[in-house]
Amino acid sequence: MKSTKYFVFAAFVLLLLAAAGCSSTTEIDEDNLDEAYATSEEELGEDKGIYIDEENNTVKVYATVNGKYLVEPTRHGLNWIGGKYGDQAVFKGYANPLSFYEALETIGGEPATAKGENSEDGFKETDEGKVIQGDPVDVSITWEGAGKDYDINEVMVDSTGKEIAYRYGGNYDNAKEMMTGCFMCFDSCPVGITSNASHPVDTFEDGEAEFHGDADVLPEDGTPVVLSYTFAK
Amino acid sequence: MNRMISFGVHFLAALFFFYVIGLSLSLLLIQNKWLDMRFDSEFLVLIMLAAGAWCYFAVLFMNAKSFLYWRRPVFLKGVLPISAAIILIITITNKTFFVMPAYVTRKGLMIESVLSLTGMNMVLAAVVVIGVLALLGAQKRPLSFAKGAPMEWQAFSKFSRYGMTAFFIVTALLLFIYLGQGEIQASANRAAAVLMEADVEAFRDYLLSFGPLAALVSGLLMVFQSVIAPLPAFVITFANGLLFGWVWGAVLSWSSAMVGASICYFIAKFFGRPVVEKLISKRALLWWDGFFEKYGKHSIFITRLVPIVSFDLVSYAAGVTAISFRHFFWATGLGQLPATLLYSYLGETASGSVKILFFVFTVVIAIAVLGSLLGPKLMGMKKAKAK
Repeated sequence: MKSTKYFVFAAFVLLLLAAAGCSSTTEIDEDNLDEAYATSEEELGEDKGIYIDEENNTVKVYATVNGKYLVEPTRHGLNWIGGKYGDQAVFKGYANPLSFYEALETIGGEPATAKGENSEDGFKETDEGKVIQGDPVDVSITWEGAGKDYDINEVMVDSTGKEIAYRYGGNYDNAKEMMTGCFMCFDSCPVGITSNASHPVDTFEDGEAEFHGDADVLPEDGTPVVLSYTFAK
Repeated sequence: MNRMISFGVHFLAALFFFYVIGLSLSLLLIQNKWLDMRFDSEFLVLIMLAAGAWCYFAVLFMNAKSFLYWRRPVFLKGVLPISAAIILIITITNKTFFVMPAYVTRKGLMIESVLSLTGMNMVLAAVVVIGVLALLGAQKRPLSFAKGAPMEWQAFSKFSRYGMTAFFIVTALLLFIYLGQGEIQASANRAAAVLMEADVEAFRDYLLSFGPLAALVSGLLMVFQSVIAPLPAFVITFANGLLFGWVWGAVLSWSSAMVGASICYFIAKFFGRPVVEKLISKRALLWWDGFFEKYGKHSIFITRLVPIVSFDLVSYAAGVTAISFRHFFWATGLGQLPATLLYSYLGETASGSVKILFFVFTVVIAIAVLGSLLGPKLMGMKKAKAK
């Protein structure tokens, strides 16, 4: 049809592209998951968001602080910015969750749900509800000027006062299908690569608990941080 | 000079007025945790600023005085103070005064990588001062309207005016949903990418990913492509045939194309001839006038039979002629039936040859139509040469 209609369409496409540049999901190239890996800790950044320190059996993840969730509640601890919910977490990650899954596996972690397995089997039924299994993960965080490595419980606030206990849930297939971008969830989650075994599935959704980053400890919005993941075996 | 200052003052007043409302609504939506985990309400700021610009330009170029909200007492003394109060109450009680307004504005305007929260707060302080001054200035100096504007707002019928306003509101809402909801945005991007590649198999896979909602999604896409985007509709018809079988595929494609055509028809009725001229070109509309004059009420049926005549052009053009909706509906329904059945059948028997068959079919039809149009002229030229 006529140029005006093409113009409207072109404007719409441009808008889509502009929006895509800001917040849309990005495709993950599964054949090249290691492209997200830095070769040294110094190389960690937005382009290379994960460093596997095989010597110390540690995975380091580059992220930035999301100021909104230092003051508003969320269910997401760390999300990949290319995911559907990339802006809904305390920390914005720049590497995709599938690369994160592989990295944790590389340092010897055993997920609750491995690739090709049914995510339903990755949970344990308790009186409180379904709780995520998998190897327990120690998570710590630091940033320029922090002066030390903080345990994740020192920088996050759980309204119930429970300590966060991260587990390697795995959920590779769900993460790939749902593309939510979840690295680290505040309650047990069938999509997050790691999630919190202290709270069963849907704790946040049911209003049982609220979570946010601690504004008194964490640096201001946009500050780069590095999170370290090791298995407490 | 004085006039230019008036234009500037009113522009800033309009933007500020709508920005305050957008920010307050956005903060209210964020208070709902369920929604906040699924939706980026911050983009309401952008949408409201666009609404402010739309109202301003409607006033300036179309003398649409009713859109001068930033001068109307009920909005100025009611809506604006209430919005400001909502912002203050939420941010002060949540202790987020120095975080959320700056965060929401920055994200809503997609400038997160440009400004820190501190930088944004400084900009906001300036915005508030300039905005309040602009609002006060706008009360004192009326916006001098252009005389004899090319598209006088009052010259449109009431029907058209409501139509244009509703169209803007619906477009703004759709854009807000697209920008704010990650899953919808991802789906829309995927659909656009697949459709633009005209890849039937990829489109079928895309539809399949919606499970039981595949038919609904396919129908909505057909309507969408009819109304706004010049995307290849035959891909959708093929894919429907491939996915649902040729009978149900044809039913789905036919009915969704009918909905799309009806929407185009009523958009044209709402907007009237000047807007349709801009939408499908004056030339195309003149061509349609000539065609309509020659073939009368059979025009719709004939053009629907010939696949090289744009489906959307006819739907829009029919809306500005005397053709009743009833006649338009039945002529479109019957006229598009053969092509729909053929594409659906080709879709069901899809293989690599589907596209080839389609193009052969289109080329044959096109040659036949061009032949019938140019034939007499060529014959006339031959005869003249022979003489």
